Amino acid sequence: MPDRLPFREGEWIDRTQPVAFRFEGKSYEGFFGDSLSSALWSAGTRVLGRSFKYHRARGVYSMTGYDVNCLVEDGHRTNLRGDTLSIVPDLDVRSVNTLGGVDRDRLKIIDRFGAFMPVGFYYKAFHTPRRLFSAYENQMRKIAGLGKINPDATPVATPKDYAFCDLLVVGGGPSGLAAAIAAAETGLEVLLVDEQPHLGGSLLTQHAHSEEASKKCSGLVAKAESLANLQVRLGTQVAGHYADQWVALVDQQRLTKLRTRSTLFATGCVEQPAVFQNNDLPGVMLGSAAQRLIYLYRVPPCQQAVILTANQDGYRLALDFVEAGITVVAVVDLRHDGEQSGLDREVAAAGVEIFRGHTVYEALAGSQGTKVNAAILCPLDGEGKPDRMGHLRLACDGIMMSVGWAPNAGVAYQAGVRFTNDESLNQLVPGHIPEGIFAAGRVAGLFELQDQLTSGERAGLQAAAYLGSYEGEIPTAPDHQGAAPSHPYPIFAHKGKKNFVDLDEDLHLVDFKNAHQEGYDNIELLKRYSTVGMGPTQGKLSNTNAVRILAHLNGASINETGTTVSRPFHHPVSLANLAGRRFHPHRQTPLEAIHRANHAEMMHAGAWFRPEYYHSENSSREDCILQEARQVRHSVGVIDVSTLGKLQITGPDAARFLEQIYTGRFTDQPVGRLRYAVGCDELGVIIEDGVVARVAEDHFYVTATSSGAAAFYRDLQRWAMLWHLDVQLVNATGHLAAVNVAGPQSRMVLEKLTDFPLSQEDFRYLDVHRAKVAGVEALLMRIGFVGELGFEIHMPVSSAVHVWNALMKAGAAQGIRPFGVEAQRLLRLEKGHLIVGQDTDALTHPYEVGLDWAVKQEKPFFVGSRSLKILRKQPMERTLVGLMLSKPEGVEECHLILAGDSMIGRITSVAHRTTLGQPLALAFLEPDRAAVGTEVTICGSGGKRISARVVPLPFYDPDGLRQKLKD
Amino acid sequence: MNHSDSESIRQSPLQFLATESASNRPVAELTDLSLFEKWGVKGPGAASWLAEKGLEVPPTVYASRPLPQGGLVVRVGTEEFFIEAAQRDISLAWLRDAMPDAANFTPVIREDAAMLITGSGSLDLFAQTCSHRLEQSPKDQMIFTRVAGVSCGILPQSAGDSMQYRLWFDPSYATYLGETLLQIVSELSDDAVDASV
Repeated sequence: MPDRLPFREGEWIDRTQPVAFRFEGKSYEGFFGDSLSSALWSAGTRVLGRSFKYHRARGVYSMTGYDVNCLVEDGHRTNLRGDTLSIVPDLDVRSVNTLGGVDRDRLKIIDRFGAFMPVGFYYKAFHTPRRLFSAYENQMRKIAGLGKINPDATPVATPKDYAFCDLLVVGGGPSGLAAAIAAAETGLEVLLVDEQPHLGGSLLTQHAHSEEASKKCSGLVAKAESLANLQVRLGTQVAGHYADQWVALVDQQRLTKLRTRSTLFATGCVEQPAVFQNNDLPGVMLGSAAQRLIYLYRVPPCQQAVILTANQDGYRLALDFVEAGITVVAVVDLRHDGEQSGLDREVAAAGVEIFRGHTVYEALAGSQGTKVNAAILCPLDGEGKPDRMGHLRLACDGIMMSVGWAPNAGVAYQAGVRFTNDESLNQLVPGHIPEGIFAAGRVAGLFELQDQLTSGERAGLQAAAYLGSYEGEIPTAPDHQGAAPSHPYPIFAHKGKKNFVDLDEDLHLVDFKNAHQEGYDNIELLKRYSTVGMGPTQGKLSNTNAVRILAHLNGASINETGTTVSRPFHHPVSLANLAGRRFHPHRQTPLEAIHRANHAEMMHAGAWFRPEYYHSENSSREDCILQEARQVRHSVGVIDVSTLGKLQITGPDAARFLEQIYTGRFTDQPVGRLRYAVGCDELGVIIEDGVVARVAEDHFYVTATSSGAAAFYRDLQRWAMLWHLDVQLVNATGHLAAVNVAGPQSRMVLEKLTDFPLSQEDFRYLDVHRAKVAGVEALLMRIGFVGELGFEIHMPVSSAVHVWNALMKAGAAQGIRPFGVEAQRLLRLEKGHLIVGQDTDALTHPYEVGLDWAVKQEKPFFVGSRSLKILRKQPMERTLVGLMLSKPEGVEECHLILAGDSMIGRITSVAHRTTLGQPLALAFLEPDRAAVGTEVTICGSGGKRISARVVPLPFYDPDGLRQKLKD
Repeated sequence: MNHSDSESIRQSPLQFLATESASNRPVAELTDLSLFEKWGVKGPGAASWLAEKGLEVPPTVYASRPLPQGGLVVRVGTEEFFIEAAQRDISLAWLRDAMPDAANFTPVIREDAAMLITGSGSLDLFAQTCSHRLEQSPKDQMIFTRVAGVSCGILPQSAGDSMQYRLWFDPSYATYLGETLLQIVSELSDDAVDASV
């Protein structure tokens, strides 16, 4: 039966709601409100996990979730921390990092060979012979590491959200509550965050014995809940604090990106362990962990306790144990003069023996080696070293450690707070605090309850004054009185080398001495060499002692030794929370539903989805593409080109602007005519192409490549501002749809839908006219990208479906069908039209791709003109040519063209099956090998050599008669 | 072609909002307003021309004002305006057709997808999709920001005791954004139902 103490007001468990769960394949029962660790401990289970390196048995240690003694996985999630994992019905978890289960972990044998595995052993042992390193690595990877990722687990879509406040108060203990209330009462919007599921902090545990403190806690919580402008988020950790008060909050469901104007840290302290032999055995735990078990979960930490202490907290703990009916075998005080507050008299009056100037030198395990059954005490000499001659053995099943505290300072470090050691406290306290950051309570070195409340109120009002909501008096800063709450060096050597400093990494005292001996005498170097503080606990329970040890070894003070700083995340965050909901905006043309209904295979084209080709029954992809292309060559096809960039350039300087943007001439472009346009950057590299339609004297309509339009438009805006030209730019890309009707019968189809005359005389090749198509106002352009008679219809996006359907109906007699991007690519390749970005790269200039005719150097200026003048004078390194391939397979884009072993070019576009019946390609070739008729060799797929011959461009209709087709 | 013909031709990119429901009891409602006619003018002299036409010109950038016939005009730049009719069957032709041929300003085609977001969960919906602090934004003042990664204009408006939000964005993102918002509303609504049980 679970072992519970009697009911107590304020306990976190609900005894009316039993919860069944499974751990390591066994069934257990706890209560709603229990954590996994508390429920298992109450059931008498002492081995909750195995350590990282030596696979030593581990039990309850901090009960905060900071340590990783109880780390479990449930098949979907891994590295769940038992201290904070709530038990729920059907919870079924196993400990991580075991071979054969936590009780019979076969890897525990490693513990016997610990002497052969000092810190850094793997650096030294496994680098030779080199050929075996992969084998070593493989085995180490199997043995090391915590938890296994289940690649088959269903991803959980966790939301991310944004939040805002004036003041973020981190920590819901007495000082955090006081601060939040004081600030909220000035009218600020305050967000109070605590990682625990309930407000109260140390009021719920260390001060829980006090009726007055309990009343204070209830009053503060009630007050906080009554303030509408004070929001409380529990079960939420502040994972990171970034520039400009950007804070990451993480709870079980989500990551919140908080923007606050100010942050107040009331994060308290983390109790620190003592270092003695076997200080990791199940049953050895922090005093605060014992209080959490007693007061929050009503679980007795043990039956017979030895309390190792160096402050009044240990004595308070002894009284808590006595009150709970647990035998306290002894209080072992590291201080020779003992406790001065009077608590020692109360403890002694309760019949507890006090050993002053003593330490627990060693914890002894039972026969299974899995839990404490005795403590070895030694008196301390004047230098604080154990005198083993005077040792004493006390039977017990629990050793509680209350020897000092360290500020919970990780996030404060990230916020720019720098800590210095206060020797009156033996604790780090804030030294430098940046503007807009405040600290209160224990993290600032205040341990008395009243001091914490006062410092909280003071910090809250200081924050309010900083934010401009308070101008009144601010309470005087309290000062710590009395003895230091922390011992300066609770660390004791032992020849057994199982006196752990860092339980995450199984680092013991000698590891630090060895590292120091090897020259790692700087805290940052020591950290990286020994890996102290680099485990999942992130040094919360080890860094303080590590700094003390290094300071001791260096003969330096703590301040001279320094501390490591903290980076996000303060506490591990699941990747699911980090990933969160994924926003991948993608664009669709208004015709997408029609494409899908026509069995289109959709493809990504930049941010767009476009039809690659349309499935046709019993036809392969290549067959479908070829059928679509043939339809265009012989009859009529229609393609959705709504993804084209569609820009409007207007104003008195519009023509001049375009002349400066593009390489061609536009000031002399007649109204109603189209011109091909090439845009270069300052280096003369082609970055864009499209057509420029002059629809009025001061009004141009420009198309741009689908994927480059947004960047090109930004360029245009920049140039327009730099040149101070009187132009207006509008990016209408998403607001207009466009379809291209192409093929010898396209005129016949379109004539049915418009009153505008389409004859060769009325509508010449490269004409542009406003016209109504199927009743829709449209811009009609006669262009022939695919090398056939063709009309491009640009219209409002909302009318695109109507026009498309009308076209399909009008062309039914001609067998009109849609064609996709691949057919369009094939057709334009046959025509020798290049695609910017495919047949050009980041160095291609117009002269290399046969666009000399489009470069009008007689103009005063255009972007890239100076570079192109220089390039013109230099010998060309490559030129774009057409190739006829000897085989209809084995050549892909980017395959190299070789002469012997030398590369002389590369394929830019290829089509194995064409309407011309020959496999064709476009390629860059060295100019002296580019003469028509030259045979070249392509290094094809699998390294096969495939021959090809240079042929004239274009492959299809060299005289351009098809696109200029008359009636 | 008269306006009603045009109405039958036009199709909204968000028409699925009318049939797809996020939940039986959604905490936020998304209403498609894409077919409200929209138009824009941009360039020197645009403000004075609009004033000539009897419009109350918003005095500052991002401010909005109602149109005399209903609808609104938003100043989206120093000399750039976005105009929207109040209903689907109201045309802006009276303004469009009055545009002078010789003007320094230019007409701007606007086919934005548009929706109205209402309901108690509106701010929760924006909290998951938008980094702007909408609850503190002044009403009737346009905000240009991103929602679920899509550039949007948002106009907070009062609706009785509560607020509603108009949203305009590039119509090519309509399916993506509409479905994304519906999904989040659905989850928020499920959470709200769970919380009330």
